Amino acid sequence: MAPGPVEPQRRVRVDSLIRRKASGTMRRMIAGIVVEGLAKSFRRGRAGARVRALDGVSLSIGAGEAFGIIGPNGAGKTTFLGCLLGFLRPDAGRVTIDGHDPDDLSVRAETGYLPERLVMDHWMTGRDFLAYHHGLALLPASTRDADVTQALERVGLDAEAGERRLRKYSRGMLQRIGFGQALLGSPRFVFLDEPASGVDPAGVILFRRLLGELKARGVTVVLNSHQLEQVERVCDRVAFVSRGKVEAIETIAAGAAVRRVLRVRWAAGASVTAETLARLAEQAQAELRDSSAHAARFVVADDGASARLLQALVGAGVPVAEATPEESRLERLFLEPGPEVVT
Amino acid sequence: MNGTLITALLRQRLTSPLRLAFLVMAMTFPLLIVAADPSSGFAAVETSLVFAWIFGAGMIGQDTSSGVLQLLLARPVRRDVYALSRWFAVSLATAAAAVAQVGLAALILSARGARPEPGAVGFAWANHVTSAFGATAPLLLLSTFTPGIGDLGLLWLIYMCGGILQMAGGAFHSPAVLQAGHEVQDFLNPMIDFAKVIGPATSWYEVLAYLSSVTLSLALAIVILNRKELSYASAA
Repeated sequence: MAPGPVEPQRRVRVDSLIRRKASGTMRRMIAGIVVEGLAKSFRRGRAGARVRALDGVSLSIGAGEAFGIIGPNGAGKTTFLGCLLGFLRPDAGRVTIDGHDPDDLSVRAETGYLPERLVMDHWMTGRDFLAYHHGLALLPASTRDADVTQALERVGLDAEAGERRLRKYSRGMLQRIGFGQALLGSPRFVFLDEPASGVDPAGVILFRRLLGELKARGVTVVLNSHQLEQVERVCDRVAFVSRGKVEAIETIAAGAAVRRVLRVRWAAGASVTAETLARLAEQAQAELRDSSAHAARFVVADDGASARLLQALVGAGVPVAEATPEESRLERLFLEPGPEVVT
Repeated sequence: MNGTLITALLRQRLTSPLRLAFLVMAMTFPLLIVAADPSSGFAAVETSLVFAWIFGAGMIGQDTSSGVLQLLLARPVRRDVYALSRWFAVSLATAAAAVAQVGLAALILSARGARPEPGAVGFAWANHVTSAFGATAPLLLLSTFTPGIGDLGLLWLIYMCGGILQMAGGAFHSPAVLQAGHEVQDFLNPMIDFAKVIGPATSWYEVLAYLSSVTLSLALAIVILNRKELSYASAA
C-alpha cells in the first residue's frame, strides 16, 4: 500500500528527533544509562516527615545490557525507575540516557515502558490501545495495522482478544498487551516494572522469551522484578537496592563462586550410608549437612566443588538422579550471603 | 497539537455513557424550552458552558489519578502539547455541540414561526464557539492539580465564591468587592459577545479580557503540568 500523506510528516518528526540527538555535541555522548548521586525524598502525608526514597544512587548501565533491580518492598526501586524515565525530579544527582536527559524526546522516541500498576484507557479495544501508542510513538501510519497485529501475536493475544475492550481483559491479558505496547517500534531502551505480575505460567515463559529476544537484539533492558528466577535468566548484572541505596551490584555469573547448599537425590533402592556420604564430601572438599534415605544436602564452595562432589558420588556408585541448588544464584548473592549459609 | 491525542480524547468522550446521557439532557431540555416559548429566541440555548463541563471534566485529572498519564508521557509527547491537545479536543467537542444546538434551535424557531435573523444565528454561533474554547481553558487549569473530576467541583466552588463576593459587595456597597466577584466568575467563563464587539460601539475590553483569561489559564496549566511528578510514590 502506498504511504499516505501523513506518513512523511511523521517520518520527518522522528528524523528530526534523531538528528537533534546526533547533533548534541555539547552533551557528553555516553552510550547507555548513567546515574550519578541520585537522591529523592517524599513527604509522607500532607504534614508528615520526609522519607528518603533514594539516597545517593550511582551506577551505569551499558548499551545493550540487561540490568536487574531487586530489593524488598519500599526499597526505592520504582522511584528509581521513575527517575530513569524522567517522571520524577531528583532532589540531587542526575540521570542521562545516551548523554541526554531522560525526558528528552529523542530518548522517549526510543523507549518502551511497562509500569508496575498498569492502567489503561479501558474503553479502547486491544487493537485501539496499540494503535494509539503506535501513533504516540510517531511510528509511520502506513505500518500501523501490520505493527499492531504483530505486537498482538508477539504477546500471545489472538485477533479476537485484539477486538475486545480492555475492560474485559484479565489481569494477565492486560499485562500482555502492556508488554506489547512497550515493544512497539523496536525501542532501544526498555524499562519494565514487574512485567510478569499477574501473568499465568505460560505468560511468564513467553515474557522470558521476549526478554531474551530483546537482549539478543542489543536492547538495553532495565528490569525491576521480585521474580528472582526471571531476573537471573535475563539480566547480565543486578543491583540490590535497600532503603534507597544500592547495596551491591553483581554479575549473575558471580553467583557461581558463592557457597551454596546442594541437594542431591539418588534413585530409590540404592543404599547409601551417611558415613559414605561424609567421606565422599570430604574428598570433594564439600561438607555433608544432612541426609535421608534417598537424598542428602551438601555445602559446596563453588561450581568446581559441586562438580567434584557429583563426580565422587557417581564414581562411588551412588545412582545420582538429581542435583539442585537450594537457592538461585541471586538468592546466594543477595539474600543469604555465603558464610551465613554454611554450618 | 497532537492528532492522536485529540482523536483519542474525542472517542473516549463519545463512548462514555454517563457523559453521553448528560449531553443528551443538556442538548434536549433547552431545545424543548425554545419549542415551548419561541419568543425567548436563543436565550435558552446558552449552554456551551454546560457542554464544556460535560466534555471537559477530568480532562487531565482522570489521566493523572488513573495512571494513564505515566504511560502516555513515556512516549515522545511534550507535556505542553498534551495539555493543549486536551484543551483543543474538549473545546472542539464543546463547540460542535453548541453549534449544533444553536442550529437546531434556529430550525425550531423557524418552524414555530419565529424565524431568527441570519445575523443573530451567526452571532450566536460565534459567541458559542468562543465560549467553548474559553470555558475549557480554566477547566484545564483546574484539572492539572485536582485528581479525577475534582476540577469540576473546584470550578463550581470558585464560581460560588465569586457569587458570594458579589453578594457581599452588594450588601456592603463595595464596588471593588462586587467587581472582584464578577472578575472571578468571568475568569471561569471567558466569552465574547460579538454583538457588542461588532456593534457600533466596539468593546475591545471584551476581546482582551477573553484572550487574557484563556492565555493565562493555558499558560498556568502548562507550567503546573511541567512541574508535576508522575508516580504513585509521590502521593504516598
